[in-house]
Order: sequence, then structure tokens, then C-alpha cells
Amino acid sequence: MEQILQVFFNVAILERTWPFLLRGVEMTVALSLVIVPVGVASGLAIAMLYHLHLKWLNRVLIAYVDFFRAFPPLVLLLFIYGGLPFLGLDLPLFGTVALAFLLNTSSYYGEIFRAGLESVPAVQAEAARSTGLSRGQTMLWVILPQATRNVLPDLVSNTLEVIKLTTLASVVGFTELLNNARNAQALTYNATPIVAAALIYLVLLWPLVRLVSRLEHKSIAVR
Amino acid sequence: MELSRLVFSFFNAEVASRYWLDIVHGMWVTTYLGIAVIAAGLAAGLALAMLRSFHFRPASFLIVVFADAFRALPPLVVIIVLFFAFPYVGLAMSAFTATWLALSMVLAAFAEEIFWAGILSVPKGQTEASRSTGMSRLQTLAFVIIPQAVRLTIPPLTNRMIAITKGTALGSVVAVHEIIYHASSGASEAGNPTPLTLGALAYLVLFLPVVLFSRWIETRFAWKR
Amino acid sequence: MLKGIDLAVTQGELVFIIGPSGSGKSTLLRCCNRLEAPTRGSVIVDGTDLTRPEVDLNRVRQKIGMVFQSFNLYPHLNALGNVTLALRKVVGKGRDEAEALGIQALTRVGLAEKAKAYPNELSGGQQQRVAIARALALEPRILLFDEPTSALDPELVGSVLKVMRELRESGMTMVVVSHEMEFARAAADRVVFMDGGVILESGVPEKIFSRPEHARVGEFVARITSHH
Repeated sequence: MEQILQVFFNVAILERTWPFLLRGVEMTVALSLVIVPVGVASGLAIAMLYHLHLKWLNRVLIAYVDFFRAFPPLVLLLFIYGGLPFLGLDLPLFGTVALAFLLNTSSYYGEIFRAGLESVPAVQAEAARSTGLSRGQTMLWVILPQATRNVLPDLVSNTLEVIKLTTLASVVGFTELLNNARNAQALTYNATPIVAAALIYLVLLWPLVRLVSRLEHKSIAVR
Repeated sequence: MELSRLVFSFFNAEVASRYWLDIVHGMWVTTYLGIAVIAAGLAAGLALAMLRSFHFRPASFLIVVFADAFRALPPLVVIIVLFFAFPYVGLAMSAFTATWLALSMVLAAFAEEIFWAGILSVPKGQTEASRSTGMSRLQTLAFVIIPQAVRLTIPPLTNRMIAITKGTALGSVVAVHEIIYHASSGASEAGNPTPLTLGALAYLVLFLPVVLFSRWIETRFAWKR
Repeated sequence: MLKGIDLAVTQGELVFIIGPSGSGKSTLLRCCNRLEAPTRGSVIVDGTDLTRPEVDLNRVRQKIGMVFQSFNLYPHLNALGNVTLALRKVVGKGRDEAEALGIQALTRVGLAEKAKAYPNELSGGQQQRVAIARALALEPRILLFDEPTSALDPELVGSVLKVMRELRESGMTMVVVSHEMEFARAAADRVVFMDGGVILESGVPEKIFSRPEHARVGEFVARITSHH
């Protein structure tokens, strides 16, 4: 027991490494704040393009989505990180990481919004148009709100996944939480930093998990 | 950026010939690890959901805590903790075991929630009818509830299984010799990204069929509902 | 819910329970096989007190058959599968023996030829008859019916009532919660009127329907028969 406290919950080491971990949290949040909105927006764009029902376009879109859903995000990250320099492109680390993650999450959000748009009965658009609303207004005020409401559990669940995805950036040295925790562990020969990081993730993400559960149960009850 | 430069960098036949065998070995490890994770994760998830249906408060509480914790924790963090932290208290395990255990627990957490939702969706009347013919709680679960619950669980379950098997790539971080590990080290060694291209292709070969299959499954079961 | 019930049913009797919704009739019926448990008092079936903790509920339930308003057939099994599941898993019969007994039960309700059909291929009346066969297959001492025809289209009600009449004639003990007054008049030995969790009145059908002691009973009967 004594040993466990010493190795996993060492207060002295925690004090020393805490600023380091905190900076990691900042970077995790920063990365998430970029990827989630842009991912949602591009996913929405993909879904709306799909909704135009242009056969050739849809084939391209489905290929894009399936391709990036089949690709493990870590592989995509390493591929872009290792390969981009050979294309003559020199992106800052943040940019490389963001690009890789965006390609991945836009396809997931795209699928979710696509299912959402399809879940709204076509008669809704007919009804709206017949009261004089334009196509854009119909989409914005009638279709999208319903579509979003129908897939809200999946949207929140995927956002949770995206935040968890940020840990992969540690593999290419991006200074988010896991990366800093591992470095701290290596420097102090003590496991407390990574245990602390795990607990921080739990505290930050557990509320989201509860939210997803609640949303899912509500949508089951409605059925 | 001329085409020849592109090909030389990413599709270099000479470099490929040196590393393709490693990639194939990696494919074997990825597949093996993936199947092991799916088997353990699904079995544990189903067992936990069935246990939860007996409504024994202490057990249900622990199950919910487990499911919440392992759905909140990033899988890579779990792998790191198992592989790097546990040895400090004498519980050392191989990189493969750490990866398998971490991913299985995460899958079990998600699977439990999915199975539980399925069990809840079966109308109460089914349990009543079955119990009133004298079937025990376990028999009712096994022969009446679970067969019906499974149908609802197929789409979310296939999605989650795909996500988790892609997580096998995370094993490379602790040096499990799966695909991206070989691809990454090969690319570093050769100073050429072609091994990465091979690795990417290997993943596509393994996972594209699975994704297409799951798309087909989703449409099939969506219609049945 | 139930505020003090004292009811005794003798073998071979068909007892009909009527009353407004919320009167506790379903609750009373479900107490008879412990789907609901009374907070005080005892439920004795064929000499066994169901409220005692040491009783083997699963074994006792084999002797009590229940038919539900919403049929509750297992959608993933065909008719024969529905009827034989408990025979195989609870009584422990082998597959062939169970299927033979199952076909017998299905024949009794007139649906032997639908043995391989799935519930979603059957009409409501047929589904309910399969549900009756499922209960019969275990050779129960008593059958409980919880509004067996309330969820059926009018044309299909007759087929179910016919089966219930035949069961009555074969001497089965039955307790039926239902609104089918004609059936009660023709086949019930005793009619019990419940309201607000208690039994207001109980007696032979002629008395309850034509000359009840309580005004409430008369009002209720008049209202129900005018709907049919």
C-alpha cells in the first residue's frame, strides 16, 4: 500500500510536474476547440452536398467517407507527418495534427449528419416550401433543427471521441496532456504523472459520458 | 511537384521490396490482436450486461462505474498506464498484453452499454410471459431476451468493433510489432515514406471490406426494424 | 392498489372479473402467479402459498397458465417454438417429445397447421390462440386470462372465445378479466365486480347483470353492454 502511494500518487512529484501537466491540458483543449467546430462544419457540408442527390457526387462523397473511416487515425497521422515533407510542404506541428484529425472526424460527422438529414421526412420540406420558405430557409429553420435533434446522441458521442483522439498527437511529440505526462514520467522515474493525467481525463470527460448516456436513453424512450 | 518525385518518394519499388514482408507480418499481428480484443471485449460486455439485468444494486453500481470510466478514458492512456505504470508495483506485462487488455476493457465498456440498451428495449411483456411459464431469470435472459436484444445492437456494435480494431495501431506506441510499427520504423530507416504507403495500403486491405460489410449490415437491420 | 381481497376459486370454475379501469382487476390476476406480490396476505394455489419465500416459484408457475392482453409471443421463434420453449427448458422434455406435445396443444386451439409460422405472419386472433396453446402445453391446473380479447379486432374475438369456451367445457379452472359480457353471461360460473381495489359484489351472472345489489355494478354493466 505504502509503495502504491509512493509510485502512483506521489504528492511531491505531482507538485513539481503539475504546471507541466496543466500546459498539456491547455494544448488538448486548444486542439479540441479547433477540430470539433471545423469537423462539425465540414461534416455538415458533406451531408448537405450528399442531400443534393447528385449521383456522381454522392459516389465521391461515400468513397471519401468510407476511406477515412477505414483508416486508423494514428496511421493517417503518421502518414501525413512523415509524408508531407516529401511533398515539399512544411506545416507547423499543430497544423499537421489538425489536418490528420480533421480528415478523420469530418467523415464521421459527415456520416452522422447524413443519417440525420435522411431521418427527417421529405414531407417536412414540402410543407415548408408550400408556405413560401425558400430552399435555404427550409434547410436552416426546418430540416436542420430536426436532423440535429435526431442525431444529437451520436453527435455528442463523436465529439467525445474526437477529444480522446487528441492523445494520439503525443506520438508525434505534440505537447498535449499525454505527451507531457509521459515526458514527466521519464524525467522523474515515477508513474505519478501518467496516473494524474489519466485522472484528469476522467474528470474532464466523465461528464460528457454521462451526457451521452442520458441523451441515448431519452431517444430510446421516445421510440 | 513533378509526378516522378512523388512516385520516388511514396511508391518507391526498391524500398517497398525491402519492407513489404515486415508489413505482411504486421498484418498478421494486427489481425490476431484485433480478433483477440473483439472476442474478449464482446464476451465481457455481454456478461456484464446480463449481470446488470439481475438488478443487484452493488453489482450494477460497479458495472456502471466501469463502463463510464472506460468510455471516458482515451484508449492510448489506458495502454500507457498498463504498460508503464503497473511495472512500478511489480505487475509487468508485455506490450501485446497491455494493448490487448486495454482495448478489451474499452470495448467491454462500450459493448456493455450497447447490450444493456438492447436488453432494455425488449418489451417487459416478454419477460412476464416467459416467467409465467416457469422459466428462470437466467433462462429467460438466454432464450427470450438476448436473442431479441441482439438485433438492436448490431449496427452500433459493428461500428464500435471497427473503431476498436483500428485502435490496434495504438500498440505501435509501446512497440507491438503490428503494421504501423513496421511501417514507421521502416520509413525512418530508409529515409523514404514508401513503407508508410505500404502500411496505409495494408490497413485499407484489412479494413475497407469490414467497413463496407458494416454498411451493408446497417441497411439490412435498419429495414427489419 | 388492492385494499383487501378475499377470493376463493374452486376447481372447474370459470370466474369472471369485471370492473372499471384502475379497479385493480389486472393486479389481482397478476397476484395469482406472483407477477405482482401482495404486501400483506397470502395467495394459495393448489395448496401452495405463493407468498412464502421458500416456495419454488418457477416450479409452481408451470401449473399456472397465463394469457396476456398483448399476447407477448416470442417474435424470434415460430408458433411451435413458442409453445415448446418452456417444455424443453423448464420441464426438460426432449425435442421430439416437446414438439409432439406442442402440436397437441396447437391442435386444441385449432392451429396445428400454423406450427411453423412466425408471430408476425399470424393474425391477432391466431397469435392469442398460440399464446393459449403455450400456456396449455404445460398442463396447468388453472388458467389466468388478462383481457385476452381487448387488443383484438372485433372479427377475431370470436375465435378466441370459442377456444375459451371449449376449455371451460373440458373442465379447466379459469379466472378471466375481461369486458366480454356476452361470454360471461353464457359461460361464467361466477362474476366478480371490482372497484377501487375491493370486490364490491360477487355472484352468478344472472344476478350481477340483471339484479345487482350495488348501483355501481348496474351502471357499469349498462355502460359496457351499450358499447357492444
